Amino acid sequence: MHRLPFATLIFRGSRFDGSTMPLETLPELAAYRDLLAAVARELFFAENPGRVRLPRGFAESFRLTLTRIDAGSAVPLIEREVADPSLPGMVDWFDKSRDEVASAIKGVAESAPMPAWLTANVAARFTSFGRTLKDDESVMLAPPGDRVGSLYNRHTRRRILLAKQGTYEEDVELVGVVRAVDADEDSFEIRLGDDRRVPVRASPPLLAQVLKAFQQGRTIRVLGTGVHDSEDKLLRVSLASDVTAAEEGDLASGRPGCRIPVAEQVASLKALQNGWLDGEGRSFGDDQLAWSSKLLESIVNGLELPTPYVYPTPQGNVRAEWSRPLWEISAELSWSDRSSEVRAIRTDADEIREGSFPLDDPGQEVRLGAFLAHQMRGEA
Amino acid sequence: MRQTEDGGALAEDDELLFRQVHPSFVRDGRVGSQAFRPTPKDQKMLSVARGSKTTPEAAYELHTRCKNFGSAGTWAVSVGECRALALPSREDPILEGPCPDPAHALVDFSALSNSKIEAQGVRLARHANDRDRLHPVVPKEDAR
Repeated sequence: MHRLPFATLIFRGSRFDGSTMPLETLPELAAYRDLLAAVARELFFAENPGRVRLPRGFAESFRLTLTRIDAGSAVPLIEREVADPSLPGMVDWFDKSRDEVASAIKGVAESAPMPAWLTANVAARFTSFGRTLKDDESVMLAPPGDRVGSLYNRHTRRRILLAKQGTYEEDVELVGVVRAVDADEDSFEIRLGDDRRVPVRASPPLLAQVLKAFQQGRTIRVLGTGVHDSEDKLLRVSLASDVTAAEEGDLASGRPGCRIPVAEQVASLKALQNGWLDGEGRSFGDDQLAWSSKLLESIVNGLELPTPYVYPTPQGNVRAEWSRPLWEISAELSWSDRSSEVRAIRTDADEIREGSFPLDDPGQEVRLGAFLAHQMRGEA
Repeated sequence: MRQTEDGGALAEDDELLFRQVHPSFVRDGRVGSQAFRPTPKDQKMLSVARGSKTTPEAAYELHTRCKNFGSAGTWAVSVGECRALALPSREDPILEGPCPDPAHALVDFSALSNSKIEAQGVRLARHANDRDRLHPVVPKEDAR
């Protein structure tokens, strides 16, 4: 058996610095091989429309090996085992498959039409290839001995999957509270920090853990396969791979909170006239709104808190609210005495945590921010 | 489900109580907690409409067209959710005047301190947000 250089895959990103490949990314190499094998099959049948079967030994003839990992990010050198490289003749479907895949990936970046061989069966292989890549990571598919080729990353993968399936799958890690368990359907619903409810399918052993957490009202961490739509919205977790109790300090998933920026929310209160609440309600002055906006933004951005939902109060205060599993948190800002009252109210028990902050006093803004951050993390 | 009580108390735990929410109390589809607690003029009574006597749409139309008040829509809590928070609810039909409202009812906060009123309002709002807006029904993304 001989080995011939077949492809150079250049993995880039912080995890691949130092020319190392984390073990959890090794499945990418097998996924690449499976993808090329699936494409080779499609190419064969396209070129041989009368055939219903592959030639004997077709699949077994394609064996790839990892020879070594070169320096310069992580560069696994892929070689192909061939029985006799001197044999002339027939079309090599696997070499062609390698070139077609590289070309198609390059085409995605240029918004070219998807190739005919990209069937549902092949799209399923793209589900596996690139699955472990993070946002800042990519893999370049280069010809053997080369360092320039087609760039494949999460974005490319999403575009291919969305074009063929309408959804795409990615590994997700969610932290939240269980809101419902359906043992008949092997599923449960987790509520995230931004109030989204996500259905999750899980095996019976995992579901037993989930049920226990549900009964005890505990926050859990779920690892699994997330299914997203074309707007990156998480639709469901098609299968949970692990469920554990959340660790102290874990924030519920969905940190962003309100989708409207704080400044925009506060500025909108300017439109409220005296009597805005069916005859009640005071208007807001420019100085008050500027003070409220600056204070809230500095706390939210400085401590990386979720964006709050901002409301007026009939008494003329600005009120910021956050929802997290089992807790509702509010900070009411009073312009008249430059103070803030913070309350964290447990929704399933008679528990309230409160803090008062006279904001004209030195250091009180920092104390207010720290108190809010503690409540957001569920710390007493 | 509980048995009927006297004095117009609402006893069907599953009955929904519709609440009209002022547009200023809705952000990005989320109802603020103030929408589910009485304002000072309400004398610790929260106005709602009985789900057994009207619909989310009819309650909204009455509030905005006849009474000419602002509303971002109809949200709801149930009689049972109120009762679990020690908030009795009772019927209070309005049969006369320019905008008769036979479905009108009250959720009674009168036994509570101001601090407790806020807490229970927060908890009711959580129930209402869980249920989402009942009318008009539009994708949450549009309800900003």
